Amino acid sequence: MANKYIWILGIFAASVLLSGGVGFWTFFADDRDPRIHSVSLEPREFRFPGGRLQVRSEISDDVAIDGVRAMLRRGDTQIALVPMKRSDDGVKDPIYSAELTVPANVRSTGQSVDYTLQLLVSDSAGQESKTEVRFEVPAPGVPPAPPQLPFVD
Amino acid sequence: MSRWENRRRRLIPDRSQFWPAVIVFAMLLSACGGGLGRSDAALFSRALGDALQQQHYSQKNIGQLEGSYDPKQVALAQQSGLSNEAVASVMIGLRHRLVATYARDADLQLPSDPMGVIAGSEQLTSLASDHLGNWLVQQGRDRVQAALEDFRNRPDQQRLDDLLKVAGAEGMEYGYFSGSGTFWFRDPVTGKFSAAAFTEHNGERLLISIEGVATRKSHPKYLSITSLPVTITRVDLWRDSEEGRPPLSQAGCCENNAPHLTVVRSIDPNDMLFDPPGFGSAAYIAEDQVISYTIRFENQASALAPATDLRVIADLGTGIDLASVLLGPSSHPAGMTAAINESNGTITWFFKDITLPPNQFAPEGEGWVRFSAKPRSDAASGTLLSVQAAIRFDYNPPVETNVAVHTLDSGPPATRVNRLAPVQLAPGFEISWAGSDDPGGSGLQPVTLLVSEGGGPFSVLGTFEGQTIPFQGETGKTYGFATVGIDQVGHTEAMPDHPDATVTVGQLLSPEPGWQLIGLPVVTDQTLQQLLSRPGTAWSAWDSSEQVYLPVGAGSTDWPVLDFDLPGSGLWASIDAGTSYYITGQQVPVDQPYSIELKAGWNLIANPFPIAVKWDLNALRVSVAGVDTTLAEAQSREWVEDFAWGWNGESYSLLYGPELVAGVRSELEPFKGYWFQAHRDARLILPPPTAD
Repeated sequence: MANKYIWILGIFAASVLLSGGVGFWTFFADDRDPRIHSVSLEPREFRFPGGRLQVRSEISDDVAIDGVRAMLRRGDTQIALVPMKRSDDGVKDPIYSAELTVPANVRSTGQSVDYTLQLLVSDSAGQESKTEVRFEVPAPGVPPAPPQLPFVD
Repeated sequence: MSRWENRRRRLIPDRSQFWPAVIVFAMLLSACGGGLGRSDAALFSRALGDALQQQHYSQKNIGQLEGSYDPKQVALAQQSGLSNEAVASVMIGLRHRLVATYARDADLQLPSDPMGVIAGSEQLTSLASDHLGNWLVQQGRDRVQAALEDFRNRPDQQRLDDLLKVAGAEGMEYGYFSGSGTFWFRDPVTGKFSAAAFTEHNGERLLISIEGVATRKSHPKYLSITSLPVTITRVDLWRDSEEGRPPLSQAGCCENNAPHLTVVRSIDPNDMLFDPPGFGSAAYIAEDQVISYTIRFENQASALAPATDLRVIADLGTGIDLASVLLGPSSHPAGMTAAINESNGTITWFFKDITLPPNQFAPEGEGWVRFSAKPRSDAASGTLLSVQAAIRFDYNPPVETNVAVHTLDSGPPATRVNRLAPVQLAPGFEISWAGSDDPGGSGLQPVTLLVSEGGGPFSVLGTFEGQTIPFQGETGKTYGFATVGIDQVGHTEAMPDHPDATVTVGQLLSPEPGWQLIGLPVVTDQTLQQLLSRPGTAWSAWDSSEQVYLPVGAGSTDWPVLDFDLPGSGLWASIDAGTSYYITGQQVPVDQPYSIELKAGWNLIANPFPIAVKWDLNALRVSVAGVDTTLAEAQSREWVEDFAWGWNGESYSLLYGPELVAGVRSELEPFKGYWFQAHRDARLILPPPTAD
């Protein structure tokens, strides 16, 4: 009977050693939200035609990242929702990137259009993190209004 | 095939004719009894026979003689710098020289080398052996040299006897020529040599006059003429008493009713006529034109004999439709046959026994054949139709005619009226056209301008030489224009079913009620008031220097004096409903760029052309202080903005590159005005709207 316990203890010890010690236990315990370390946009500013927007973000998780999405919103209106792809070298913290199209602003009133770019990250345990970046697309310069009648100089 | 073989085959038309010579030489060498064995002697004889040009003239083979004579090659051989061809030429003469050598040795008083090329028989003999040896060494038969030496060393008389013995044994008599104009022959009856006169003219004429030749009925007279160094194309042998004696004897060349052996050439100047001549130096013709050809030939008056047989061969080349060939009449239809050879594209006329005399009393020595043909229907314009004939009198070398050359024009031209502004503000304007004949064609005649009015049928306005055609219209009318081209061979372009360009004279301007942003692309001396004043209208212009509106002209008062050009300048107009204008005047050229002056700030511009101009950021250009760049680049340099604003009656709408922003205006519309913003004084340069 004593031999039986000795065998069980030996197997347990070997498992710990082979799995790298504490990591053996953490593998089974993803209890942290993914972390968004940085978000960068290129270009930083737009002219009225809008155009392509490059989004890059450095993201990490204690176990594994399940998915990263970029959502472009104008007010409450969702303009675009695209998955971000991992594009790092696999050594440092993962870098995710995506490209979106920002619509032109052809308002003749001169009013710019505000956009919100939201990053949504989920890990393997289903925990989510998100962050937002705001930017605007200006309107073209507004010309003089038509003359008035009766004409007033 | 080597050059040597080519040469040899050319020299020897029929090897069977040489067998007697081969046999003679074989026996000759056998009789020598030198170091040459039987097989070697035969081999030598065969080789020599192949190389020598030995012809036997008789009544049986008259007219079968062909040979060649190239004095230059003989001269080259003399210098011992022998090529194979030169050796061949020398050897053609060597056989004869050897005979001559023996003749001299036998005291036959041969005055000089029979060919008149090499003086002295000793030298002849030496050269003969050397050159023969050289050549045969090349053939691997150098032992022949020893045989020749042995032969030479025998007593002269014995050698001659041997030679004659061999010749006689073959039933042949032979002769040779001396350089003094004597033909030496051996009488077959007496066995003695006699002399006959001959003359030679640079290989063109050879006349031999033989006297005192006895003949035997059982033994037809032979003359074995070895290696005549002339081109012989026809041989006649006759006696004075015989009928059909050619004029030669009448010239007094042959006396005493002596038999004559004459070698003469008929001479055949010739040409080809054709009709039609075609257009221009290239002689263009249309694909359905029939060309008539006439091939003319003549036996020249200086010829020595009538031509007996005549062949005319027309090479039709590759551009003629052989199925279209029609053989026409000829000058000598009797005995004439003609055939078209479709495999090689030739027509051959053969005149058997035409007996065309020397043309001493024209046109007795002249003749002709005719045929007609059309070009190939599938040939492209530019195809050359080259027809040439070769005329061959008897056994003369063929003589070629001139080449009848036409150039095919198989397609119609294509022309069209160049793009015109759809609105012509002046009643008188120019129409330009472009086009050409089909590639390779004959070129255009003056074009015919068609005009239709109000969408009606076309009528011919006229035929015009130049590229621009003045036209005078009436204000308010619409005209359609098209051209019809005709090329130089008559191909006419298909009648168009719709105009290439449609033009309205004058622009009816009837803006919607309320403020409208318009442009007036006219050059006029009228004031704005004169031009625009109407009851119920108001106008305003923009002072871009001050960035303010100019005082508006309303009704018929308070009209500002403009200091800018109307084309390219926008105006605000407020026009009551139902008011309209016919805008007429001189417009700016639509085929040249137009520059609009800009001030820093907002500028009210307009399309200066009565044709839309695409808002292309890379085609529009901006000039600042003499530096010219694209609109796109100018924007990046912050000289100007790269967009403009138009007015839709209620609000502004953006004018920009549609490839950059979907749904925006993409053209500067004619008769419309636009706001354009500059950040410094500059010029906006619009490309000509007809450039595309």
